[in-house]
Amino acid sequence: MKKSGLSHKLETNEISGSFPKESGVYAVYDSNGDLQFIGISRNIAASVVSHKNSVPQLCSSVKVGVVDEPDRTALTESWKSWMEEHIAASGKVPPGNEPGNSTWVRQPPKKKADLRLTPGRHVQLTVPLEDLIDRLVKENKVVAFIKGSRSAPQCGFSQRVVALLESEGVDYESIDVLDEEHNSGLRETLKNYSNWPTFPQIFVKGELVGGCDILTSMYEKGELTSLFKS
Amino acid sequence: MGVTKEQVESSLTSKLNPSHLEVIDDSGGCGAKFSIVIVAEQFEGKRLLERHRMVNGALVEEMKEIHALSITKAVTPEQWKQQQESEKSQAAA
Repeated sequence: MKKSGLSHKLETNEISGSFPKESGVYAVYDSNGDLQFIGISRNIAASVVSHKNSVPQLCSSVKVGVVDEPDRTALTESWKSWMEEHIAASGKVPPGNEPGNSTWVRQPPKKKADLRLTPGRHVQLTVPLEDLIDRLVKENKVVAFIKGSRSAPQCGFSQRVVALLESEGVDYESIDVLDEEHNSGLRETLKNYSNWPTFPQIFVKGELVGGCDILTSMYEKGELTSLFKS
Repeated sequence: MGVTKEQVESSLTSKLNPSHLEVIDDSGGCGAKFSIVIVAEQFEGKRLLERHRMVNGALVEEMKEIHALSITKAVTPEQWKQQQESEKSQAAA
């Protein structure tokens, strides 16, 4: 078993770069040096960052062990041996690994429903569609007009944008521009409103940021996080 | 029906006067899907959104036939030079 004894001190904002992005096992310690949780991850760095964000008071330092050939068995074996070692030394299971403790386990994010402009095709809008779009993008911080629903985007570009937003943990609203039943006429009206010919379209605080290419390029330059944080 | 790579190139060349232009037909020949790398002086001082608008604007006729346009890069000659150099130094390293 490979077990690196390196203990990285968790530093706010800088943790993402300093942990391996590989698969492996990791142990999280609080500021008293007490072991809180032993986890398995396909991306140690990402798991550590998400713990640090969700329970910062329990994350002081982290020990990581990269597993070289990370099939499920190897990972589980590695995790078991860390657990056994800890139990042998302390006589107890780390609090985060006790049954019923959900502090460390990522809750499946609740998928928001897509927004709809009208309850159905038969309903006449009382305001121009353009005004409705305007209100929508100004009253919601992040709005993504996509093809298909957020849970099942219907084009690769929309899918990529949804994946980017989800990976940044952005709280966003989505609207399906292909939904003629509830969003009739939206596609053409939105193209005029935003002066942008394609979908998806992502608005932040009422302003068009761009489509898939622009979001991807901002993501690659590391500009997305600050865009959604501000 | 569709748009040819040459049509896309000629529209972009005449409207944006690029110093470097790559148009790739990703459609497998039907002319509905392109990706573009464009380097132009005119992008100077413009945000990415504006740059994409300029490209979209230059292709407004072609866009009626194009289903998917991917603007991979829209940069100024200055930025292009920097990117080329950093790629070169990475390749050398």
